[in-house]
Amino acid sequence: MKLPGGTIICARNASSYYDAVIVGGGMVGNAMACSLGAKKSFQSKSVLLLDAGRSPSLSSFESGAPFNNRVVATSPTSIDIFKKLGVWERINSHRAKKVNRLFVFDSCSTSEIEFERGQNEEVAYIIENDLIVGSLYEKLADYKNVDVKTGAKVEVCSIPNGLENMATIKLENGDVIETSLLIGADGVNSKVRHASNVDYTTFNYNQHGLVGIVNIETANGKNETAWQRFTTLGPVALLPLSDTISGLTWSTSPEEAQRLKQLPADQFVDELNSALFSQDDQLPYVNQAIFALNKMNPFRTETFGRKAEGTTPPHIISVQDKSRASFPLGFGNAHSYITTRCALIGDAAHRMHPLAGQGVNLGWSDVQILDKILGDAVREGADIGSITYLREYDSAAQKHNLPVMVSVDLLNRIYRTDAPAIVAARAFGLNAFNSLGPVKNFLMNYLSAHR
Amino acid sequence: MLPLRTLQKLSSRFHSTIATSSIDAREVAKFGDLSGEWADELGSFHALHSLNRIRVPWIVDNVKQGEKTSKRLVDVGSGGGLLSIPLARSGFDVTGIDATKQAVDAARLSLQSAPLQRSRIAERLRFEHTSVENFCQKPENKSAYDGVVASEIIEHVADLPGFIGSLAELARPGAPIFITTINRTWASKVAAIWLAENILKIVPSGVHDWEKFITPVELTAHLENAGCRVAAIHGLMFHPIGNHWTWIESTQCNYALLAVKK
Repeated sequence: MKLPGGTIICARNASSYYDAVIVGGGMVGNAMACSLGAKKSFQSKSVLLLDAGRSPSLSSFESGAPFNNRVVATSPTSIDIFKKLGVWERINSHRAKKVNRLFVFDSCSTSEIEFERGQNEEVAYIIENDLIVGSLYEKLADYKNVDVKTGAKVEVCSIPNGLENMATIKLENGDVIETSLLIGADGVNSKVRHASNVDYTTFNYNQHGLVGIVNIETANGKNETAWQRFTTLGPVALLPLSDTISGLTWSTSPEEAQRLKQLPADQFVDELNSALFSQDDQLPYVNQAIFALNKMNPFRTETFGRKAEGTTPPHIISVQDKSRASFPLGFGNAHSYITTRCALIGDAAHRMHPLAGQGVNLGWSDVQILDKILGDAVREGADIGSITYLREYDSAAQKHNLPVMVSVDLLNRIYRTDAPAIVAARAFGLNAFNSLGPVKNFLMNYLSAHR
Repeated sequence: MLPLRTLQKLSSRFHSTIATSSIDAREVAKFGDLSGEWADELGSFHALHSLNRIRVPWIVDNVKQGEKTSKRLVDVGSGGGLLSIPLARSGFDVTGIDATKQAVDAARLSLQSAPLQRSRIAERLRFEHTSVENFCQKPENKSAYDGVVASEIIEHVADLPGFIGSLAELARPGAPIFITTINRTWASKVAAIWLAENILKIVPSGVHDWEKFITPVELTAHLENAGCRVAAIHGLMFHPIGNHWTWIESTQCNYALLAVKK
């Protein structure tokens, strides 16, 4: 430190400075770091990524290696972000499973909805979380303006009220880091969010998500459809990882999740098949009404001559050893994703039910929006922690995320009941929606918009 | 502690007639307040802050950045530094000069702030309390700058030809001179004086004198007399709702002029 008099004193706990510090080395934090690393206007800026753990090595994702049980459905928009960040080749050369059809059905009625794209287009890619983290992390080595600290656990952050002060991060090892912009990508229990003091709405679903890796068998030997069946305890989803392997995401009550996790493998498989195929909860009068409606609907073309893959999900043969895990599900949204010198991205800012597989995709959308406004701030010579710019990120990201989060929350609610009136309403709604080709195409394009 | 010492040093350097001991804490506190006002993005100077969003890229795009060393800019009429600081952030080496001592003190105070110190932007930024005529007399300043900025200042000066002549002396041959100001038209009388000062209160009342506004034609003549060529003139429009500026074709009110020293 240099004082005006010209004396140089060396402080004992010398603190370091970065223009931006990203807390959290997950899928969203790493994407943010890559995004700023590649940014032309950030070449003269310094960025630090603080990773509490250590990044996974890509060698564990060679073909043949067992699949990791944490997987994400990566939307076409997110794939475009990966391409822009220059990591898509790396991810795809390991293993990413293309899904060109999404089939949603109901345990209480025959209503169903199908999203399908052409052979060369995808609805989503199913990718292991750690493969994404590892690929982004490797890419960071290309960027001179980005430093990474692994095993860096944040003890406390402080965020100033105004631009005249810096945001500071104190690590558990005593290091102090100062920054113009603290980016919180540190997940649901974000320390950055707590320090920022923003209001946060949150509630639990009283549901747990059970994940696992299952071996499956399909009629045609291909596994290109993502399946989701709504049951009264929560949706069961099968996400293809290879032609014979799928990732399971089973939302159910906490007690059920605990019980299922501990069941012997063969009993677990029986219960899972039953959750996918059981007809016990079907309501015959709702089904008769749907059948009658379908006969009258002039738009419905696919009633006859079903596609080869059909309308029944694959049979589960076995569950892989030690692949079962479960975690609580909840909803959360920060009322503001920003304060002066602080921006929250990904799960630190918002959390949602996994049933639509949108959570992390929203996080990557945050990265894209924040990246753009930080580019504007640098170009206009502004302090990147200035609320004038961050506010634009907040309003654009909230506007993008909230409709998706609220719709998914609503879906989860209306499918957790077997009350006949609601079953009928949702069945007719879904059925009508599925029958209206143009409306469905419009929605599908909206969800994968911004391309 | 730090600001007090700095101010004492500054006062002894530039105002040798004032004894160092005459600085009192109230003065320092006042400068601190003023500094806060200059830096407040939503305060009295909000329209100047939002003007940065188009004038900074305009200046950056028109001064070729140096390969190794930073290009040198002089910001004439730098006030509290609210344009000089963003220009320094954009990578330039910036000298801000202003005739108002309080404004220069406020700018210097903000130089001591942690964000400018820790990011080392303060190292390529300095403020001087001087007039442009005196400043350009110094041999080290003649034809020394890769860009000269006079933004929202020429409508406040007494001797315009002399002022423009001094700007031209600071620029090295081929260097751009950036001027933004207000035209002297009926439109500007309504918009810049009546609306801005009395109705919308965008600027403090009495800050502008319509008689002193300059038309692009007059400004062009002064610049040509000073050995400069006018490269472009664009209109600027302020949108009070949303506090932002856009480039427009009409130069009836606010306008920006880019000249090049021959």
